[in-house]
Amino acid sequence: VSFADAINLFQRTHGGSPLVAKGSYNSPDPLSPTYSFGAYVCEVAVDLRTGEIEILKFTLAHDCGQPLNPMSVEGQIEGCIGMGLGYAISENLRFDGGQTLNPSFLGYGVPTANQMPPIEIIHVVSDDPHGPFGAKETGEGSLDPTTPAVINAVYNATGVRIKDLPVTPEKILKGLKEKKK
Amino acid sequence: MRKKLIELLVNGERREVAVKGNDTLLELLREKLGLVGTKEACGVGECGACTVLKDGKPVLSCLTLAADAAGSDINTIEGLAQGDELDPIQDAFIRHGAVQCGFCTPGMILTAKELLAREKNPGKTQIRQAISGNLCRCTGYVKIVEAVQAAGRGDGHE
Repeated sequence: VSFADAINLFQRTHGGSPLVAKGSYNSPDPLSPTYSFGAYVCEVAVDLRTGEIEILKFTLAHDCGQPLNPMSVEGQIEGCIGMGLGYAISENLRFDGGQTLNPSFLGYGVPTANQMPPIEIIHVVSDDPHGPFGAKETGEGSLDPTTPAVINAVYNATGVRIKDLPVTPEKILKGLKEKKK
Repeated sequence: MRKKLIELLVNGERREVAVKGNDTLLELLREKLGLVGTKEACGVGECGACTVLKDGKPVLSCLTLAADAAGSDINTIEGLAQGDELDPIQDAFIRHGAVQCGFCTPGMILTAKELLAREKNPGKTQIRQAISGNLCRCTGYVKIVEAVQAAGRGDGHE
């Protein structure tokens, strides 16, 4: 019997009421049933005269358990790279006494298609006992390491450690000047 | 405010619509003609979600006055598929996973449509440049670029 037929049969014999099932699950770990892992590498070029940053490439490996739909997994990761890059080098919500100073896409700095670097994705396939069909997650876990990868690459290239986001050419130049002193 | 009757082609069909002086093309399409495939996101011409083709060129329908569209040929996302047959770009978007939340998709596809009409087999850089006025928060643009490239190569239907 097909799923649709089963629902149909149930509804016809139960006065049209919906078929409801209840279940419960206790995570073995109080924080999360499972954890995803990843390694993210960002390559940057920094112009030491202007402080301008060019993102050259992202290479990353993400363990999302069993990728149920590898294309969707890649799509989620690529989206995270876009968001993380914006967080790292362009997006900035500015306030003045509770007033948003840049309440527009133009002033905020969401990355555009021509600002995205090439992305190389390595799927780390594992079988998670807690997730559905061995899967874990890929939606948000890929966002977290993206920004630190950019900041570390900038540090590696210039020796300047940026501690407030976004990294701007001005902050890099200031850091370079302080380093010289 | 006084209304004026204008005539225009929408997806190949002649339409007569009464518009006010400050009605936008976006309002005409969504509210008067019920073509809600065209999306409004920012409403001030920054995001590209409301892109439609006006005489073959992509325009931001939120910034285009409806009265300015009088006599023009408008193409929206609803007009791309031929019956049950999707446009090759639509088909490629599905096959390449280029749709996540989907809000930028109609604008992206219409921008791509114009690119592919003037450029047979565009490269990635050219595609990225063409769609750089269409913001997407979900995909990081990678799958969108791949889909447009596949449609340009003619292998949307794989």
